[in-house]
Formats: sequence, structure tokens, C-alpha cells
Amino acid sequence: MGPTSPKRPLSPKGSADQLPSAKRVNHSNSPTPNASEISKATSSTTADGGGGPKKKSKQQQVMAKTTGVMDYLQKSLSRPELLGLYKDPDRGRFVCRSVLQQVPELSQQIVVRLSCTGGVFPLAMIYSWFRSNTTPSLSPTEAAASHGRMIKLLEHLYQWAIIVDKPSSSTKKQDPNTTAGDNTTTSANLVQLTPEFYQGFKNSLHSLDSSPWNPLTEKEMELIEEDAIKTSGKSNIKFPRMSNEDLERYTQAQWDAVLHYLVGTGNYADPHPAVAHFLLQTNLMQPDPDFKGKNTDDAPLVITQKGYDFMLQDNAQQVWHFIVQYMASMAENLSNDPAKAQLLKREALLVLICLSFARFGECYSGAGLTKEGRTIIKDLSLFGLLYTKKVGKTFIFYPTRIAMQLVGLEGTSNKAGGGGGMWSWSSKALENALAHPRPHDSSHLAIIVQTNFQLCAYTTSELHVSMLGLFCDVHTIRRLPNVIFMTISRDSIKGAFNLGIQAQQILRFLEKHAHPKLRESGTDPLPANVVDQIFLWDRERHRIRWNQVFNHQPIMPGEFQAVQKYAMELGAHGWSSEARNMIMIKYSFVDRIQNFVQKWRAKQASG
Amino acid sequence: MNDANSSVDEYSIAKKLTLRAAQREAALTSITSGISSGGDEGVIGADFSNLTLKPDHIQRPCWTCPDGHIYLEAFHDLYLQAYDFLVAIAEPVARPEFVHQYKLTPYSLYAAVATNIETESIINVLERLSKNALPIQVKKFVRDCTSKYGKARLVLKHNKFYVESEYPMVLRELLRDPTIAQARIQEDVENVDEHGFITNAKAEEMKENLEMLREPDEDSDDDDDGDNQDHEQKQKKPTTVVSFQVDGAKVENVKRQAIELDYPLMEEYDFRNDTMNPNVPLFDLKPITRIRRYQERSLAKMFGNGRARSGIIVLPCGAGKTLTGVTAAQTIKKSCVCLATNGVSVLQWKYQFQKWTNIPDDRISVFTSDQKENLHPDACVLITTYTMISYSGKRSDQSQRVMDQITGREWGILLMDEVHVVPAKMFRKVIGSVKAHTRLGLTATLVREDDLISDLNFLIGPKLYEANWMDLTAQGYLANVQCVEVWCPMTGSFMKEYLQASNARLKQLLYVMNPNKLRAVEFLVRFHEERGDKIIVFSDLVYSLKLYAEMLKRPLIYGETPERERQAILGTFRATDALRTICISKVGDTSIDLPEANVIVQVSSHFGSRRQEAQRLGRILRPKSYTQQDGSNRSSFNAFFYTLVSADTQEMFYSAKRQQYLIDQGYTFKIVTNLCEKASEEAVKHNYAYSSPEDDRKLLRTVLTSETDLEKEQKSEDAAIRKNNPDGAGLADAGTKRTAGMTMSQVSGGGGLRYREITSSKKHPLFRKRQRR
Repeated sequence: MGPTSPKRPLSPKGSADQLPSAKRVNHSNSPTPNASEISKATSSTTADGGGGPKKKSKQQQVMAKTTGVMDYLQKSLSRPELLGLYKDPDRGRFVCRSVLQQVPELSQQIVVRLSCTGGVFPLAMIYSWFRSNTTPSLSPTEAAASHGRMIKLLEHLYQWAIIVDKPSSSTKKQDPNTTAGDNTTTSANLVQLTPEFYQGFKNSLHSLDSSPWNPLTEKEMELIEEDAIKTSGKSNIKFPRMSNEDLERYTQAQWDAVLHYLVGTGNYADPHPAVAHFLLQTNLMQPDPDFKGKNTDDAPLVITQKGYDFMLQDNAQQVWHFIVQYMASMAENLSNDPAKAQLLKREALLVLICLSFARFGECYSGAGLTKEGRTIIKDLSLFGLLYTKKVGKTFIFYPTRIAMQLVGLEGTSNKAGGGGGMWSWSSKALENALAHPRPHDSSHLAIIVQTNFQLCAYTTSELHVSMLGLFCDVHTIRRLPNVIFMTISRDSIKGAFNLGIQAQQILRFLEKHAHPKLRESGTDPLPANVVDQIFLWDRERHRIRWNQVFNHQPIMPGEFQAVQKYAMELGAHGWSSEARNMIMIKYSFVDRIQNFVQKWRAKQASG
Repeated sequence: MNDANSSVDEYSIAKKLTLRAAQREAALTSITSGISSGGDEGVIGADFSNLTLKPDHIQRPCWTCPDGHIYLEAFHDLYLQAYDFLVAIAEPVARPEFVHQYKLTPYSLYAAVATNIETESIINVLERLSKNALPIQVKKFVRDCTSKYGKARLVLKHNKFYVESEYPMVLRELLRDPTIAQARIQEDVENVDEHGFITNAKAEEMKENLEMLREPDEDSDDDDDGDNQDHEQKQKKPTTVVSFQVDGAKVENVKRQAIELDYPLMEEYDFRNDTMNPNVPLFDLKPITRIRRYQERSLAKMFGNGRARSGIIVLPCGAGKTLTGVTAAQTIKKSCVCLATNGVSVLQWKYQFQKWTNIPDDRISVFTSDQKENLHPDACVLITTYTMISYSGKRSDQSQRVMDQITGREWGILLMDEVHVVPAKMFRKVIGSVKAHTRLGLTATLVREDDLISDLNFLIGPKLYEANWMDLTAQGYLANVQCVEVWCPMTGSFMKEYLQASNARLKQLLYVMNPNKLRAVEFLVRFHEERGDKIIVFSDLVYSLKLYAEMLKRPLIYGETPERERQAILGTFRATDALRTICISKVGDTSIDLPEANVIVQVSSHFGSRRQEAQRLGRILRPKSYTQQDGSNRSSFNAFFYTLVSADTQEMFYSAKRQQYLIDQGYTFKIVTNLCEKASEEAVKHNYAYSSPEDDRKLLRTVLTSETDLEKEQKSEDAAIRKNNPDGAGLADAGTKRTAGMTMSQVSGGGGLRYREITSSKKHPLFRKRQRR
């Protein structure tokens, strides 16, 4: 950068007291462009106060990265928590079963074999299983490689709390060819299943039921219906019989209502107040920062950056993300009662895992659930993940497809064969958008961004219009039956930035939903000038850098020069003015500078 | 012959048509606002989501909105057919790579019917191409605009004027008017129908022009079927036309009256059967002359039915407008008046006429302020400027004599170059003075400062053809230009002064003289000179231009540069490699032809003028010798257009406005922000003129003290442009009309399709007169 103008701290002048006082001073690093820019920049930094300065707890960050229940079990649960799940008397076996489905095939083999041999087996023997697969004589490097592979698999099993000890790496040092005959069976050389998993797995093998709950039969439904009519005395009670299609529609409608609320589509009914509360609590929404009214409680809720990130994910991811938020908020609400929180979390996970064993389109009675389990199911139904109903006194529920898919995304996408990345998804979207004037499934979107900043989106969904409206100029919208046109302008993008939406998110969204035609050429689907421009607009916001500094005010003659010199040598010097008798020290160096000052003063006083 | 009054009348009558067209358009666009008038605060877009899509819409390429906007998928299989059709009937709004936007306007429809596309076929084909059922508003609009237009023509045939139409009804209606009936001349000929109209075979429109109307399944491979169908279709359509003769002396009255009846007569000139006006001998194209496809297409529109139509042809700069004009003139072969904007282009036109055709030297004459050649008594080509023709003051004897010859003669064609720059009042005079049977306007950018664009449609004729910049680039007829916007951060001290400056001119000077910009220019010039490119550095501000030239040690051309020196510099630049860079002020915007240049560095410019941007780009659009002709040069750039912008100043705002026209044509501007950093490094390394902070401070001091010099120089530049080029003076003055109470966006051209150009120099009332000369 060129020579910069003298850096002017924006803080008020030094306070009257002579003692050095720690202060946060706003510190400009670039020549000040003009007054309005500054005020804009400051207002924007204060506006996103919700997301920016407040650091997420580490746990939350970990959770955000998981992709499904199983992923969550592996990455965010402690070993005792996992073991606790395996140990559950009724449902532990289902946990074990689904965990086993998650590990690689070879590991599954090991676990099954171990369970047939009483749960304990020498490591060396297990290694021999590995070797028999390959040619008998191995070169040392190959041997080391296959040994390493085994250790990795066992470590993986250890992570899942399936085996007791971490495989000791000491065996590695021994010659793998001689260990086979060695019979030093110390505990380090034994592989042992954890008793909890072993028990759970055995239970699973011994039991015949494929599902933790039994679906209600036609007969039972009729019984419930009769019972309800009898007890209430009303004749119009009907047992809700939902077809698969009904359920799909129900889920879509409930979930869409949540998303619509999130992006602020006007003409949709607001979801359950609990949902709104939840969205606020989890920082997906915030009270409008531009709200002018007196009572901040009246401020309408608007989407936050986190919420926008949420919108960008596909449906399955969104649902999972929501579950994670849900569990986190549960823990937060019960922070004064960690034991209860732990219990609820465990219950929630068990319910989710059990759900994955339920059958889509079947009705289940709530009788088989614990009290906590029932609360959780009710909560999930607010978001459309389950359909619940009370018929008379009996609580019944239908799981939906989306709730059942929550366990491990990798597994389900393989089975459904519907993965294939976003490409096929958006091309399907286009086909759909084109094939049906008003498609029943309104969740498809294909976007063309043009070099003149016009955006052309093939969609019929209100939701997409609202989402695009977050960063496009809504005054330019032209809506046609299956396509909308909008332009991206500096103001519209800045508006999105003010909500905390990031340039990267916008571009990711546009790229993800790019029209398949744009990908045919093999180049970047977004025009380079638009991408550049959005980044440049983004950069405009970061022209002022905030550094935390310490304002040192020298009191003794010569102190200014001495401290300034020392700070410069240290690289701690931010800015200084002899006339104002101020030295700005980078905050991380405060201790060392203060030390130095004390010593220097002592020396001066004595000398 | 015809006095000044009649031409003024013609203008005011054209105005009437314009008003009518505006009303129709307003009625159509009110649909939009009617739908979304929910809230008072700002109309939010337009919602047409209730339009019905056709079940097979995926096979159709475009959407038609009820307010006349049409969107076309450029990647659709039917794109080419749809494109030809839409360009013929609608105004292109934006043509980027994937989805084009068009708009139906009364003028575009007028142009369509003028080229023999009928109302019903417009509706049918549009219906066929549209994904959604054609909105009734659009159908009504098309019928409204075209029901009476293009139905009757005024044909000059065998030196007699005939009112001709396919529909006897129309003629009867016209004849109900007493003025027209009075002008009618009864003829005693054989082919007369029951109403006394003369019947003739219709002048067939060229097949090529109507090809886009054909059904898509009528492919050329099943020729026999196609022919039969064609035949059947023709049977349905009237193959004969009816006409009546009108008195030559009363033609003006008939025309005026027809407009009153809202049946504007389209003028066609049957030049092949004109025996009265002599041909220019040997007025043929030389065998070496090659006409490009799009030039041929544009001329095909003009001479579609074997007669000459009046109208406007829009071709990008550098795409060979001159050759198109020359070819049109030699096709008619009658006397021709060619109007250019200034003396330099007059000479260029003369050169081009002689280059492409075999016209004898004595048949071509030039009429400018320094050269007043007498006309050949017979047919000839005359090249002159708008100002020479429209000058209303007292003329010298010699020029009065020439002028009398011009007004006293019947001309075959009136060619008008750069038709968008001509002020309205000048038009009236030109049209009053030159009696021409055909008028052809040529332009690159149909954007202008007043509402004349719509007037042009009735004064000259409809827009016959508009080329697509991107297509021509892809075909290799235009150089493939990489447009780059370089952001130069202001240095600290300059920014400080900029923020404190109260004087707009000083502010401008500060952002133009930003040391970072200086370094960037030097860096770019060095870089491209090493590559072997030829560079033009443009600066509107003469003061800075001098400084830049001094810094680069390269010659400069501005208003006060003597003609001889100018020619010498340009000659060296064109012919040798010794000179690779020249610095030019705004005098170089249009009149200087430098086909060799392939890099432009624009340092300062005229505020938000979109036209200037397009014209400057045009300087390097001429295809380079190494341009590939196979359409594969999309990715390889061979010309560069750099605009240097000082970050965080008003320049950013202007630059965004300026680029709008080119962006709509599909150009993209790449923004580069780190070039200045690199330039600063290089500056230190290679010892540039301005490399140290000390240099910057010195520069700032000079800039701050030279404000008065600057003002003086800018004024003398303007004066010099007028003095050296009196032909352009009228244009320059007319362009500086100042209108009070405008918003910033209007001033800078952000207001809409048209923009107004004003100069920012504040003139003291004492000097105003002197400046106007």
C-alpha cells in the first residue's frame, strides 16, 4: 500500500488520570475514505454483533460439521456417552446394530468374529486374518502397510467404543512375521469388545424384531378409534390414516412454513410460536437491527448470517442442522441441571436411532415411548418431521421419510441411489420447472447469472423468490410463470451483507443452483465479472480494521522515547504521538511493555 | 421548390406521430404498474406469474410479457430463427450470453411492417415462439401499432408519385379525404380495376428477409413440399397491389394529410425505373470490394423489394459502416449527398468512395469550410457536413452558389453518417434543403441526448438493421476486446485534498492526476510496448494530457495541435514501429481512424457518457490482422481497453454509468485492483517518472497551484476544437444545452435509454457569448 495518512485513533482523548489505562481504541489502517463510509462501516460492524464478535463454543462448531446422527455419535459424543447408549436395556441393541452398519466391512467382520469368540481375541491372530487375504510372503514394506491398515481399523473401532483398548503401537516394532508364533498374551496384545457393545450386539442377534416399536395394525387403530369415541362421547373422532403421499405433503408444508418464515415471505402463515422462539434462540433469526420502534420486543425477526447459511443447505442437511440446534438448545435450557440435560440428549439420540428402524407410512403408538421421548417427538412434529395426533387418550405418530433419513446420510444416499451431487439435482430441477407449468414439487431451482448482473431463475417457488430477494434488487423483479428475472445491484448485495450474509454464501448458492446449460462449457458457471464485483463489494466493508490496543501515557521525561523505541523493536508499536503524549501498544504486548516500563522507571528513579 | 415552412411542418407532423407512438407505448407499460400498484412507495417489479404456459413450452425459446418485453433463451435450439425475427420486430434491450431481452415498441413494429412483415404474421410467429400464450395486450398492441402503418406507400416510379397499397380499402379511405382526392391524377391506362385504381403485380419481398417467418418444419430439404406450400400461401395473400397517381406538386400535402389520418405513407423509391434523373456513370464497386454477410443483410433490408427504402442501419464502430453506405449509394446509382460530422470525416468518406468504387474524380465533390467544389452539372456524389448544409447565416458567394445547386436538384439518396449526434433543429434544415428520394442514416450507437431517437424513426425511417456486437466479434469481424477497469487507490495526500476540495474541477483534476494512476499508465504503456502493441492514451483533461505525455515522453494530439503536426504524428504512428504510443484528447473520439491501435488506456473521460465509451472502444474494434475468422477467437483477446479509475472518488460512479451500453451489448468489464501495487513496485525498480513519495508531493503541489492554468487550457481546448473544425462547432454547441433541475442520474446518463450530455464548465455570463463565437 502507498504511504498512508497519519493514523488517527478515533478514541476520545486520554483520560485525566496519569496511570496507564487499558482501553480499546479503534484504529484505522487505511486512509479514511470519507465520513459516510466510516459511519457505514461502523454501523455494519455493530449490526452483525450477533454473529461476529461472539465466539461460538467449541462444541457447537464441532456439531455444525456433522452430517447425520451417526456422524454425530462418532464426532461429538464422549466415550462414556456412547457406552451409555449401547447399554440402554431396550434400545441399545438398535444402537449397536446401526453403529455396526457404519463401520467398514472389514471391521464388521472383525466385530462379528470377536463376538463369536467371547469378545476377546489376541491381536496377533487378528493380524493373521489380514495376512491370509494376501499372498503369504510379504516384503517388509507391504507387511508394514497391512499392519498399519489393521491398526487403523482397530483405532476406528476404538473410537466407536466397540473395543476396550486402543491397539498399542508397540507391536508395530516387532517383526510382523514372527509375532504370529509369539504367545505373549498380555492385555496389550488382546483385542476385547467393550462389555456394553458386546451385550447390545448379542441382544441384537438374539432378538427377532426388526423395529423397536410395532406398528399399529388396522384392528388396533379401530380399537383406539372406538375407545376414543366411547370416552369422549363424540362420534366424529376419526383415526387419522395417512397415506405416504399425505405424509410427504405434510412434511413439505410444515418444513416450508419454517423456511418461509425464516426468509420472510409475506403471505405465509406464521409457524407455531415455539418454532419462532426456537429460531431466535438458535441465532438463525434476530430482531431486525434496523428496527426503529421503542419496544425492541416488537421488532420483526429477520434472518441472520447463520440462518442464511442454513437456507443454503439442501433439505436433508437442513433437517440435520436443525436437530443439532435442537439438542444444543436443550442443553442450554437445562444448563443448571446437567444430569437432566444429559438424559434428554441421550433420549433424543435413542429416539432418532429408533426412528430409523421404523417403517415409513406406518402408524405407531406413543405408548412405547418414555415421557421424555414423547416430548421430543412432539417437538419434532412442530417442524414436520413427524406427524403426531392424540386420538382420545392414545398418542400416535407417523414417522416421515425425512426423519428416518437422519441416521447417517452416506448410507441412505447409497441405497436410494439419488445422490450424484448437485449437478443432477439442478438438472432435474430444470426438467421439472420446464415440464410442469406449476410443478407440484416446488423445490427446484436453476439460476443463470448474466454478465450484465441480471439473474434469471427457473423456479416457481415463493421460497426461492424470497431467498433471491435477500440479495437481489426486489424492485427489478419480473416474474413469469416458470422464471423470474432480477438484477443484482450494489445496494441489494450490501443489504444482504448487513443481514450478515457473506459474499461466499451468495456465490456458493448461485453456483450450487446454476443452470445445467452453464456447466456444459466446462467453465465456471458464474461470470467472472459478477463474482469479482461481489467480492469487491464485500471488501468495501472491511476497509477499517479494528485492532485492540493499549494506550500508554508516559509520565516521566524520556519515557516516551524509551517506550517507543522498545515497542518498535518488539513489533508492538501501533501508533504514537509525542505531542499528545500517547503510545498505542498492540494489546498482546501489554504485559511485556508494562514490565519494561516498571523496570525503566525504577532505573530512572534510582539512577 | 419547397420552402422552409414545409420542412418545419414535416417535423411537427413527425412529432405528432411520435406522440401517438408514445401514447400507445404508455398504454402498454401501464399494464405493469397497474398490476403491482399495491404500495405507494416504489413499484416493485412486475408479476406475470399468472400467464399460462403452453404444455410444450420447453420447445419454444421465448417468453412474452404483457408489457411488451420479450425474453429469449440464447441457448435454445430455435435461437437463430427467433433471433432474426425478434430483431426485426423488437428493440434489443440487452444481449448478454444466455438470455436476451427485447422490447416491442411502436417504432420497432413500424420498422417491421416497413420491411413487409404483416401484422398477422408478427402475431402468428410470436405466438409460435412464445412459451406462454400470447397475452391479449400484446396482440392488441401489435395490431394497434401496425394496422394502419405500412399499409400504404408512396412510390416514386417513372418519375411519378403513386400511392400504393395491397388493400383497396385503404386507398378508398385515403381518398375520402378531400386534400388527397384533390391531388389525385386520373390516368387512362389498361390495368384499372372497378374503383379506378391501377393494378400491378406486387413487388415481391426478397425471400431471405421473410425466411424467419416460415414454419420451422418447412425445411429446405423437402423442397417440393415447401414450394407447394409457398405457392398456396401466396395464393391467399394479395399478389397484386392497387395504386393511384398523385400530383407531384401536391405530394407534400398528401403526405401530411395521410399522417393526420394515421396512415403514414412509407416512401419507396423505384430507382430502377427512374429515367428522369441521370445515373452517375461508372458508379460501380471495384471487383476487389468484398461485402460482408451482415452488410449484405442490412442492405437486403433496405432494397428488400427491389426498391429503395429509407431507414437507419446500426452497425458497431469499426464494422464497416462506410462501405455499407457506399454500397447503398452505388446500388441506386443516382446523385448522392453524403453528410458527415466534420471535415476530417468528409475527407475519409471521399477516400472511401474512391477506394471501393470506380467513380470518376470529377463526379465526386466536397463541400466544407475550406473546400467548396462546384457540383458536376449531371449526377454526382457530394460529400459535406451537417453544419454546412444547415448554416442559416449569410454565406460567402461561392458557398451560396454551391448551396443553390444543392437545393435546386433532385437527389437519389441522402446518406447521413453518425446520425445520432445531429441535433433536431439541424435536421429540419437538412431535410428542408436536400430533396432526396431515399434517406439512409448510419450510426453505431443509437443513444442520444434528446428524444430525437424516436423522431428519427419518422424523419428518416425505421431502423432497418442492428447488428449484434458479440456475434460480429465471434465471427471475427470485430477485434475481441478485453475491457479492464483498473482501480487506482488515491494516495493519502491526494485523498485528503480531494475530500477538502470544494471546486468540482479541482476534484476532477485530483482524481485524474492521482500518482497511482500515473504509475499505472506508465506500467501499462511499458508492458504493451514491449509486447509490440500500439497504444492510445485518452484524456479529456488537456492539462493532465500534457503531463501524461511529458511523463511518457510520447507525442500528444489535442485541439490546439496544428493540422500538419497532427498528420505527422498520426502518420508515424500508423506507418512505423518507432512510435507505439500517442496521447489524444477528446478530439480523437470519433474522427481519427487508427486501425493499427489495439490498446486504449483511458485516463479521464467525459463523466457518464455512454456514447463516448462506446466510441472510444470503437477505435480499437477494427479486426486485427491476426484475428481468427473461424469464430474461435472468443477466448483469445487481441485488443485491450483499460479504464483507469481512482478508487473512492466520483469517477467510480461515472465509470459504472459509462459502461452500461457496452454491458448491454454483452461486453464484460474485468475489475483489476492490484495493478497499482504492481506498478508501484515496478516504478521503484525501473525508475519511473513518479516513483517516490517525494515525486508525489511535488506533483500535488503543482496540481494545487495550477488550477487557473487548467481552466484556461480547457477553455482554449474547446475553443481550438471549434476553430480548427468549424464544421463541428454547431454540433458542439448544440450538445451543451443545459437543463436545470435534473437529477444526477439523468445528467450522467443513468436515466434511461437516452441520455443528456452537458459540460460541467461554469461559464461566466460575460464570456458566454465570446465562447459561442
